[in-house]
Amino acid sequence: MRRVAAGDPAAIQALIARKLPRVCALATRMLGDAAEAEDVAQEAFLRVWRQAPKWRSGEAKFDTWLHRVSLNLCYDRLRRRREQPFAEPPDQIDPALGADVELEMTQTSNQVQAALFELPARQRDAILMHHYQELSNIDAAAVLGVSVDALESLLARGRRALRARLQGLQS
Amino acid sequence: MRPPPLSLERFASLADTYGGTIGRWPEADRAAAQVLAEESAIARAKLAEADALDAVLDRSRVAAPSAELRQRLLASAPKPRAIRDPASTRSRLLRWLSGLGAIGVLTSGALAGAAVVAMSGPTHVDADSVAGLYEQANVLDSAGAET
Repeated sequence: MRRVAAGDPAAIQALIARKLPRVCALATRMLGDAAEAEDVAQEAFLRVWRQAPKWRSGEAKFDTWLHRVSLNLCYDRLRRRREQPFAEPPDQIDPALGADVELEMTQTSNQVQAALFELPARQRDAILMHHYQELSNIDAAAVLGVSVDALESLLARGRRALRARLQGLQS
Repeated sequence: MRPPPLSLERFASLADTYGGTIGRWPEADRAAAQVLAEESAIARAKLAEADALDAVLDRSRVAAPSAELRQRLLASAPKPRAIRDPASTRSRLLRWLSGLGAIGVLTSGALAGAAVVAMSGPTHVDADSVAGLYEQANVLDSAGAET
């Protein structure tokens, strides 16, 4: 972070390469809108740039902090629009795939995202942090501001609900 | 050394909570869970069940960040701090000092002239002459800067 604060181009590019896809993935799953997710990512990184000169290693994990910032930005947007997200599927197209395969994959992806969004918010957040963002139980609990026991309860209930909702997709 | 054993009940609870990859479970439980997974078919079945849900969850896809966003982030990032070239700093300092010297010469000349005027007549400061003095100093300074 010291190098980022000093404007070191290599450090800045490395940080963007490592963290941007994770922030975008989280925001897309939270908001269901790739364009809005990019706005969140941009705002999150503006905060990173502002925070960089003041950052002290050891006080908090950068990754945990960045996830908390991104999650809060998503909640700000959800509060503002107060509408059901995932109105449209994420716009990821793989040109190498046939149209049928692509359509099926998109539909499956949408089903999973819809099931995620039907979860109570805290259960969904716990699944996003642990399964998709691949945070450890301790870091995921820190981002959500809960104990590890509470996180485990949220994860277990969330996964149970998802298993029931997505039964048809499980082989 | 063999880790303390994990009960099947606890193993099942961990699989239900953290999924089918033992590497993503709490660190303290991993070694014992690995041993149990190798020894118990029930544990393996529980792991496979959790793994199946993980595979379904992984079918949720998101778009990669756009190149435009990366460019915007790079444009908004902190800029490299200017590194001063010592040679350039030295020549700037010399120019500044030479300018200061010119002002000093002009100022002392003006002061000497003023003293003569003060001794020979009523006190009077001409604003135009002071402005002209600074103008000359600036010209000299600029000339130094261009060399």
